[in-house]
Amino acid sequence: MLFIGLIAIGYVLGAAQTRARQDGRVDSVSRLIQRLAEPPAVLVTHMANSTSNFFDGISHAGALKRENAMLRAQAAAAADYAQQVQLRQGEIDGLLKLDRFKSLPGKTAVPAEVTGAFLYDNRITLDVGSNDGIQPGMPVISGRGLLALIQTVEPGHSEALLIVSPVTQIWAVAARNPPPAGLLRGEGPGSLYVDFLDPNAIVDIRDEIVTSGLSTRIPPNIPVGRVLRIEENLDYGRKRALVFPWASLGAAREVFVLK
Amino acid sequence: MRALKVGVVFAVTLFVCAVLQQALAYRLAIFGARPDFMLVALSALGVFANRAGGMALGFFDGLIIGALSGANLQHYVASRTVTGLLLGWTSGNELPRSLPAVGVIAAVTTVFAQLVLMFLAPPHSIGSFLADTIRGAVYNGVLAIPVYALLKKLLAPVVR
Repeated sequence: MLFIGLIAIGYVLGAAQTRARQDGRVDSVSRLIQRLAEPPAVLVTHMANSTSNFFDGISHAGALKRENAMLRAQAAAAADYAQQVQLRQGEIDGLLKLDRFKSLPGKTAVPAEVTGAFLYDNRITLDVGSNDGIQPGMPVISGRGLLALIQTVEPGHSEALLIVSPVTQIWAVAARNPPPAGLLRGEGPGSLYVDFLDPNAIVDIRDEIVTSGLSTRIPPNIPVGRVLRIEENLDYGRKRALVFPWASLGAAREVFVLK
Repeated sequence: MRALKVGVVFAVTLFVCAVLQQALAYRLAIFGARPDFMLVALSALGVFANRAGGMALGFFDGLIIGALSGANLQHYVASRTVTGLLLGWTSGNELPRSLPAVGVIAAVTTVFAQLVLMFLAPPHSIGSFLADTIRGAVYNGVLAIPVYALLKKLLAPVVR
C-alpha cells in the first residue's frame, strides 16, 4: 500500500511539474527543494572554484614563474615602442573577443554563473532569474558561442536546456552566401544536427554554423559550431549535417544571457 | 528518540548529497565517470533501512534529484522508490555489511536504479547511457564506502 501511495504521489507531483513547465515556471515542490539546496550549493561552488584556482596555481607554478620572468623582461624593455604597441594590440584583441556578445544590437547581455549542471538531462542552472529580467527562451552564450536556452525562470535563478539536448530545436544557417537555413537540434553530448530545408543546399565540411536570426529572441550570427560531416539521402530528398558545437559546458562557468 | 535520530541523519545526508550533486558532481568526472551523490546516499542509507524505510528513502531521493535537475519527477520518484524497496528488502536478509560489500551494493544499486529509469524514460542514446551508468556505478561504489563508514558510526548505536 505504501509503495502504491508513494508512486501515486510521484505521479501527481510529476503532473503538476509538467503543467507548471508548460507555463514556463517551476512547480512549488521543485521550487521549495531548489530554494533549500541553492544557497549551500552556490557556497560550495564558490569554494570549489577557489580551491581549484589554488591548486591550479600550485600545479602551474613553473609556468607562472616562467611567465613572471618573461613579464619582467618585457617591463625592462618598456622603452621599446614597437613592443609596447604589440602588447597593447594583443590586449585589445582579447577584450574585443570577450566583449563581442555584449554589444549585440537590441540585446542586453546579463552576466551569469553556472551554479549547477545535470548532464544526463542536458540542463544547467544559472544564478540569474526574473529579478534580472530573464525570461524563458532567452539564449545563454559562453565565450565560444550559443550554449543553451532558458527554459524555466524563478526570481533568483533559472534553468536552461543545453543546445545539444534532443529537445532543443532552433533555426540556424551555414555561414555562406547565400546562407542555407536548417533546423538545428541536439543529438546528445557533443553532437548537433542541422536538417537543411533545401536538399540541394550548398554546404561543405568545416562550414561554420551560426544562428539564423529567424527567432525574435535569438540574434543572428552567434557561432554554434562547425560542420563535421554531410549526410545526403537522395531517396527522401534530405540533407543534414553533423555539427561539432563550439560551446561546451566544461569551458563555461561564466556566461551571458541575452535579453 | 531513536527514530528521531535516524530521521535526522537520513534527512541531513540527503540534503548534503543534494548540495554536492548540484555543486560538485559535474566537476568530479574521472575518465568520463561522474558521481551521483543521490544514489550514493540511497545506497549507503538503504543498507540501514527496512522495506518501508527504503521505499520512503527512495521516494525522497527521487523527489530531490528530480526537482534539482528539472527532470520528470514521476520517472525519478518511481525508479528510486523501487530501488529503495529492493534495498530495504535485501537489508532485511542479513546481507554482509563489510565496507567492500557496501561498495558492491552501491554499484549494483546504481545500475539497477538507472536501468529502471532507462525503461521509464528511454534516453536518446542507450549505448552511451549504459556506458555512463557502468562508469558511474564504479564511482558510486567507491564513494559509498566512506559514506557508509561515517553513517555506521552515527547510526550504529541505534540501528543494530
